Amino acid sequence: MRLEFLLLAVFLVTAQPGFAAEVGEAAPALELRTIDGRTVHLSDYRGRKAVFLAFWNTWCVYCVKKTERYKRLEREFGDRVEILAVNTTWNDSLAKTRQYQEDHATNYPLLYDDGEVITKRYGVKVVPTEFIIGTDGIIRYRDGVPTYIAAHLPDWYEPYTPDMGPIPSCPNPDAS
Amino acid sequence: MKRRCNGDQRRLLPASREDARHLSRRSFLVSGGAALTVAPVAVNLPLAFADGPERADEPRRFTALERSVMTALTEHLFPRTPDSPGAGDINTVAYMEFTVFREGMNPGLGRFLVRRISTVEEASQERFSLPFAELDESRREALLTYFVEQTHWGENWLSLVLGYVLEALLCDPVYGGNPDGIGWRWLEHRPGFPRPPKEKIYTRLK
Repeated sequence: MRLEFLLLAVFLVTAQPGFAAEVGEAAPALELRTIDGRTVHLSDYRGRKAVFLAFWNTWCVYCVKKTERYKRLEREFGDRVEILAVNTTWNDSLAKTRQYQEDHATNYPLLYDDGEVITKRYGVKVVPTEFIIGTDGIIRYRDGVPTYIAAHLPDWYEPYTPDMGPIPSCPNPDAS
Repeated sequence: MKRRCNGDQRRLLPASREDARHLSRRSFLVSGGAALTVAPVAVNLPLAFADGPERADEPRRFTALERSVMTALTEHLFPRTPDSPGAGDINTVAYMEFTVFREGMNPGLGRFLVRRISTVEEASQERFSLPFAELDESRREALLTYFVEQTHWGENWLSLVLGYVLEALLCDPVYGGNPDGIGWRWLEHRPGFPRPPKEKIYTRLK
């Protein structure tokens, strides 16, 4: 009886709704405020613009390394790709995020996920975690976003088909 | 379209020097081109030249940028060699213009072709900070290989472009490509008789 109870407890703890937010699935709803106080809805971009959703933290070294890339993408493709950088709030603060924006002169919106609602909804466990969401609202990439995006942009504006996922097995010509 | 990563599709790209040692471009075309000669010209050109090149309300042409990308691309796919014509010699880009923008041409195909030209240029700028037309051969090859292997449109798109190149090589000169039968002469092909006069190209007879 005790073992059964224990198994039941384990089941109840682990059997939470899955919010994996995987490639090919509809991106979960997102409503967050930027650190400037503007409210952003993912649905605002539906049918209009692809979204590059990046979960990050100010203390995350890899996230910091990606900042310059996001700035470049915003400059070069900002009219077609909306970069939304979501601070997961893990061991972080709004003040640090504001300071980060100032220090790095970010040209894309920084969002603050108070309560980790969106972070959990997207099943994010580590930072950085990046998503590309097509104009049809379907997730095209969960990490592994191509270094150069111009060649892939057209896909993000087309209706999704199952074989439009990433191609991890293909060699990267940059590496050769 | 299922993407393959085993390199099969690279055969759509220009024959490398290594390939050329095994199968010359000429022998490839002579042995396998007969069907290609007939099929695309018979199927596409009738639609493509419904109104003829000299129509009063001129159809859209490539922009300067589109033309420069397409010229560089087709010459990369089908370069001139000492004993064979290249894409420029067979008027590929002019042939494509007349074909793609003709009334009656499949508009989706034309849009697909044209829209990706700007993607090629943008990808070149993003990756190499250079226009595609100014890339050296290895960079062009790297970019095209990337399109084939890493995008969902690259393989089909390059196949389409290569199809136009072959049509320009093999069509009757009255359709805009293969000027003075340069492609035929190279392939030692004797054209059929009678050849179509300009005012009696297929689409005008429809």
